[in-house]
Amino acid sequence: MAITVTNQDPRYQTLKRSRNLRFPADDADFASRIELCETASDAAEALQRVVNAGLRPTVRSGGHCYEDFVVNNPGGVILDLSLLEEPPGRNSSGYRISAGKQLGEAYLDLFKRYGVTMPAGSCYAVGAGGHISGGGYGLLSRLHGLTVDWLTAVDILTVDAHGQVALRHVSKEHDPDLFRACRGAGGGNFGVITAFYFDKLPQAPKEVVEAGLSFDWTTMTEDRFVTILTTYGHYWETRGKDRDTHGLFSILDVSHSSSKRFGLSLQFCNPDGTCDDLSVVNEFLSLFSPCKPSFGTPAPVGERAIEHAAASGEPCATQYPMTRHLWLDATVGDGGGERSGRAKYKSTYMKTNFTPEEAKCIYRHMTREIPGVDLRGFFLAIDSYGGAINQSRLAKETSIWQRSSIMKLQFQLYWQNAADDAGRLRWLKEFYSDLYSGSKVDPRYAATPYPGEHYEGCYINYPDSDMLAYSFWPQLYYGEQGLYPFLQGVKRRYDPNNIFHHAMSIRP
Amino acid sequence: MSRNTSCSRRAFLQGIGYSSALGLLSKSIPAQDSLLPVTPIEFAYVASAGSCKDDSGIHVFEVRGGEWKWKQWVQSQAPTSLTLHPNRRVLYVANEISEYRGLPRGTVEAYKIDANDGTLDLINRQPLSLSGVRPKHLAISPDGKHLIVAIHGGGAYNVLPIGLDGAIGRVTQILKETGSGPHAASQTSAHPHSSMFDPRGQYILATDEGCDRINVFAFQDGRIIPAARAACTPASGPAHLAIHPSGGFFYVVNRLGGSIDLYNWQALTTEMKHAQRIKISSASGLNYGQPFVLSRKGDMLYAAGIEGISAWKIDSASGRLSLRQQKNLENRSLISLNFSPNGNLFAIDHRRHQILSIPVHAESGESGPPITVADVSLPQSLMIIPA
Repeated sequence: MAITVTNQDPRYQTLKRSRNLRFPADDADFASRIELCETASDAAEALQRVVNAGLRPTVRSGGHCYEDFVVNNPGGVILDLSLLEEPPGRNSSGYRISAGKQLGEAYLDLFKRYGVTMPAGSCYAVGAGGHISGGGYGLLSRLHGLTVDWLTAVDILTVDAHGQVALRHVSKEHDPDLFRACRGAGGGNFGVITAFYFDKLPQAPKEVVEAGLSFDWTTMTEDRFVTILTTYGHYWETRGKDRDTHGLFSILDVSHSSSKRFGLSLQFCNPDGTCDDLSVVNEFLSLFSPCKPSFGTPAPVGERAIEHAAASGEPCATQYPMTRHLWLDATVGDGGGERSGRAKYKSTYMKTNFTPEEAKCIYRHMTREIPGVDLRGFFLAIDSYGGAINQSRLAKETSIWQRSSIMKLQFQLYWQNAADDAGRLRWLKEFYSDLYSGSKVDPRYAATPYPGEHYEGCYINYPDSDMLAYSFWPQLYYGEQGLYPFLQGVKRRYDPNNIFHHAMSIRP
Repeated sequence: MSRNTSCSRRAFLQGIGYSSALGLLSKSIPAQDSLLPVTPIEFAYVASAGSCKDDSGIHVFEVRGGEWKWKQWVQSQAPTSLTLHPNRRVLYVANEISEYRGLPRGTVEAYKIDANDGTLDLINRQPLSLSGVRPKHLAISPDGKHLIVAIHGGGAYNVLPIGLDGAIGRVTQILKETGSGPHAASQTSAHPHSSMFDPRGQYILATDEGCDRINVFAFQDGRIIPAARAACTPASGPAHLAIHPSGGFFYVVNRLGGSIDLYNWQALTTEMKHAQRIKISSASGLNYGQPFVLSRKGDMLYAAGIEGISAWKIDSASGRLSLRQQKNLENRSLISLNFSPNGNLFAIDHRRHQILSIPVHAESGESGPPITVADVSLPQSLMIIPA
């Protein structure tokens, strides 16, 4: 039996919230109660009660959804899976990860028990449920692919046409259409995933090196800024496709000029999981020497930056400053706490390098001053991408169709006070719209990175409700090659009454 | 019949006087006093789906007996289920749409009615709950304080408060329905179709076309609470519902089955018992809208089927129906039968995009030849109120 937290319970005020304090927009939109499920049976029983009562369930694992998909549930019920107790294990169905597991905990368990890992995200407290069902990528993805590329089965609770809850173990052999949908279409669409299974997982690297460099905004020029961005993009478009570089993952965190510095961080290991040969890192860092970087000088970073870069660790005797860490230390760290606050996110997959026009546009907005709008909390995290991810056959096996990109951009804006919402949101919307209204953009899809020669749409795990303004928003997230109609068919088959829905869920 | 469906409101006739035609009719049907009321004035509201977003709205007519004079057109997206507040000063409209401001949801609207000329002025528009797409029907609590929305597409009911000024507040209750039926095309999920307060205002009777189900909801403190359920014939598709003025029985049209069911209704025990089925159409799959109506005295039921219109005598004690007349109407497709406050019967001809006056014999209850009183592009529903 799940633990029920009603609005009379002292825990309610804490547990009703999103980590992103912007949501829900109105107090009347909070759920009426939270059901804390300790087992999959708890979740099934709670879900059945919710459906029988004519209430709406939303599902939470880690509570990191970038939009209001979970907590905007007026009068409804949040099924919270963070207490699911089944430990990771390995049986005939492979390695098992509970949906409520935090990624950091999962890394610890998998490493200690089996010496393996998932190529998943870098935020310790993100829950497996939403992260993996939306694709799941991270610092090892260029080396090992996406987490859903390794996924072999899922336990999921669905609600049939008569309102009855059923537990399904789906795989390529059982309900293969639903299984494919669970491999990247995003959370909150088809049912309640309670566990993920992997026949195999990659060996965890033995060690990694981390490095970083930063640039001074006060002496930055537009020409140098353009050179930095295009140098970075050119590498991933060319040399970064070579197998020996797949262990190199980098984030260029472009911040607003008011934050004084912006920087680049990286993590690297050789394909064999060692750091015996660091020539790839030296070669990469040397590309930026003409851009007057400061090596090892910290710059403000977004929440997904590689935290330890250029910080603690064993210094390496190399051309550029870098530190060596055991892989688990670098990945899990101290498990650090994460502050709640207000935030807004956007995303873009890029198939080719930045054009000078785009780099200049970014520069323009990074140096734009708006009275009364403090933009020090903005980061454009430009992640390296591609490598093992870009296997075209996996586009058909999973629901992640973006298999040609070399960079993935995450626009992140953080602040604390509701009074500051309007100015910051307006600036970010204008920036994004301006960036995607250039010469590379088909006028029909202006203001968006619509899939084409240069862009590959957006990432559903970085959902952006601003995109709902465009009738083609499903194509931004699911492409135009038939994936969205396929997912609509899965929706109609496995959730015919649309029990599971949110602002950007698959529409039947 | 082919029809100009281009996006121009000027493309269709905006109201024509047919009093002369009604004068001719007086020679063929006796008891003409019931056919040609000259007073008092009424206002008619016709929801038009239009052929594109900008062409969808509500037409306002002034009705003087058989003469319909066009007064106003207000834009409204896919309006359906026109419902009058008990104070008769506000008109409520459901917008049968799938998306509002980028989100999957329909909307409802409130319009202030000008007491002098019947014209409408939008008070506000309120979105329904997430996934509350394509609402089909509205009901207003007898105290005028709550709006109940049957959401056909989204498979749910919403309750919204009504302010003293008639404005609709934000959704205060969502009741999600689940279920399905055997009809492959129309019953893959729940589809609440209609809801109606019983005369005492304590219960709501509601049909679910997708699940072949009639629900009884208690209405307490502004919330609907499931109280009883009755399963209907599989694949029947219960849709429009009307409670007899006596309160002892109600009728439900089976849209998929082309029939009407009579149920005995005990409000005290929330018991309902099926008592009779009549076939009103040779074909299954009736049009949406309001395919039957009870006379104001409750002695007759008029039903629109594929072939035309049928008149049924209602047994005042049992509610049982006996066929009085089957009148075939070639090349017409009637929906939304409606009695005006003056007691005149009107209908929408869905095929010819016309509003029809249907004369009714005061004694026999039989209907005469319909007369066109207005042409409206893609009419969906109709409501007539006293001026």
